[in-house]
Amino acid sequence: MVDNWGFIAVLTLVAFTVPLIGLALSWLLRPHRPGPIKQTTYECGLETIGDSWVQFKVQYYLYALIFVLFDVETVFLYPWAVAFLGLPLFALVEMVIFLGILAIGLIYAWRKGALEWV
Amino acid sequence: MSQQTVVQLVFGVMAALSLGGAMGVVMARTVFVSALWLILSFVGVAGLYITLGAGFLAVIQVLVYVGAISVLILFAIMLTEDVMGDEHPNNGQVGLAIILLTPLIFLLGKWGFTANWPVKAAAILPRSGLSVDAATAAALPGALKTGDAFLVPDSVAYLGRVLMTEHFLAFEVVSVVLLVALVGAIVIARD
Repeated sequence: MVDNWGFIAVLTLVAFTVPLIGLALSWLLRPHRPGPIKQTTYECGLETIGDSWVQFKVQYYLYALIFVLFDVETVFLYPWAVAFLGLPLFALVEMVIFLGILAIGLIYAWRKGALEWV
Repeated sequence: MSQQTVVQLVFGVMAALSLGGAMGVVMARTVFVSALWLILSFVGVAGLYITLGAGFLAVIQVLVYVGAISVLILFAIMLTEDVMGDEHPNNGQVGLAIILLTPLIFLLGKWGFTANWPVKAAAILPRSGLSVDAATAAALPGALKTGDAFLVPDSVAYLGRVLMTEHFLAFEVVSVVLLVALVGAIVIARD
């Protein structure tokens, strides 16, 4: 068991090291000649307008909330899938009901236009 | 290095991550940066779950808290106009907080180190899992006998089994709760 987590620890280290190597190499190799135009904010090549710290649309929050709910739903799928082979057919029916009830919520969100960007 | 040393080392790193992240949350100058520090703290807590042998809980912590809840918090901050860009929320009561909290932390630490915790040796890495009674262990494959307790090495399978058989009603109620939360969120956001 501890070996399995050891692999994850090694992978985490690699995941942090690789981008750091890239950043360090470019920091070592790049020429340093800043200019007033180079130091402006890059936004698709256009001049930026106004402050970047502005109030965002409520739609983002709604999307995040729907995401959290379906994230929690996914969490319940894991133990069900792992234990599936040792379970009776009733377990499949239970999961279909579980997903069905949440599908009602998705249909509700769809019908109310919550998934549309306005 | 012995296994015990490795576990202690991992615990130390993860405790430092969660406490350091929590420090960052209260010390950061903007609320937005505080939320970013909170993500680091969540990762540390996930690591603590691993040292406790609750791997599935650690995965949930990363999936739900690091992945979803933190995004929700960040969006909530971005929606709040007054909070965005408002620096220095520090109200200058750091000294008072230190004076009040030092005895509390000392007492909690003293209590934590002297209390008689019902720790089962089996619950600590490397033999992580879930300890169950003899009757449950007989029904599950691969249950190990450690001392007078039985240990199920694969607690996810056990969780799935119990969720689908004994607690299936609670499991279905969860979906109704999630549905209510979804509908409620849409109703509030549309007004």
